[in-house]
Amino acid sequence: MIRDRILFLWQFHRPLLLVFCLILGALGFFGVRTVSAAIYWADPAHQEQPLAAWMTPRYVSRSYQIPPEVLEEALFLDPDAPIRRVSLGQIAKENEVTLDVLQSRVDAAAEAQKILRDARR
Amino acid sequence: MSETILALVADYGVGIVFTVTFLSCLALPVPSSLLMLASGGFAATGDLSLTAVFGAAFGGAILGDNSGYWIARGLGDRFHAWLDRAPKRAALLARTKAFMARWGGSSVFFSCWLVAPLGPYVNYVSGLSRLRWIRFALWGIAGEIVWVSLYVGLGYSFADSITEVASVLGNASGLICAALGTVVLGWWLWRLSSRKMRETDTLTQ
Repeated sequence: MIRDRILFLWQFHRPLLLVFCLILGALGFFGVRTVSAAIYWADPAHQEQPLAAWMTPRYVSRSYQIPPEVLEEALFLDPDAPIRRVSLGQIAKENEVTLDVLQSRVDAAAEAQKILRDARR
Repeated sequence: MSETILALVADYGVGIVFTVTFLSCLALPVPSSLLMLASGGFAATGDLSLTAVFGAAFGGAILGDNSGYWIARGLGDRFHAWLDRAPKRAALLARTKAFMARWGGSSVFFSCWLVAPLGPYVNYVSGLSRLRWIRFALWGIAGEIVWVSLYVGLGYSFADSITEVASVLGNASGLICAALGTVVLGWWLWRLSSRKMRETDTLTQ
């Protein structure tokens, strides 16, 4: 009987049984989180990545589908120098702006790019 | 902290990848999986070279695994008198040795990637129980090839959605570890209680 087993374990191996319950809880927790993460990200509306301090200009260019030369201006980079590997956090610090400012500049560049693309069609 | 370490990769390159994978193999709480995904992403955009990312992550992981192994083995040798003194400790060590002699290879291999959060501890246990080093090292290399290829490869392929892949993979990895824990501990508890059931049966007969 499963009940007898649990009673026996509760009497003689209580810590072990408690650890088992804890792991069982973790199983449920990660199960729910895995499924909900998968569902959340499957929705195209959630797939836009906001800018983060770790991203590089090339990464943003790819993620937002903006050509690097258009992005350079939005990110205060020298348009004549070759695009370098630097984090957005560093760019924000060098130009004494916040990441939100960079976000709105990149959004504006992406919007302008979209209008340009539509006009060419 | 994750964001800060990722930004370090963007600013300083693959040296950070090497250091972080090394530290993660010694059980230090650094976001190595996320970092490999992001570095794979940087390789896709052309910020880093794919070969360099792979080499740095793989080198750091192998060096970290073996450092963990030799640290634990050294400590085990130094304190073997203490370990053998108490019968309970000695019995536990003997059981661990027997387990590792039988399952050591696959434990090392799968703990490198499938149940990666357990990896560092398996390294320590391998060293402590004196698993043959060459066996440890070869299974470790095989496992780390899978781990590094998997994460750097996913980062490279899904460069546009690192955040998404990281959140799904992070949770899935926790899920797999919890599932393994449930099966192993559940089996153990089942056996413990079976022994007891048999005893009560013989008593009542």
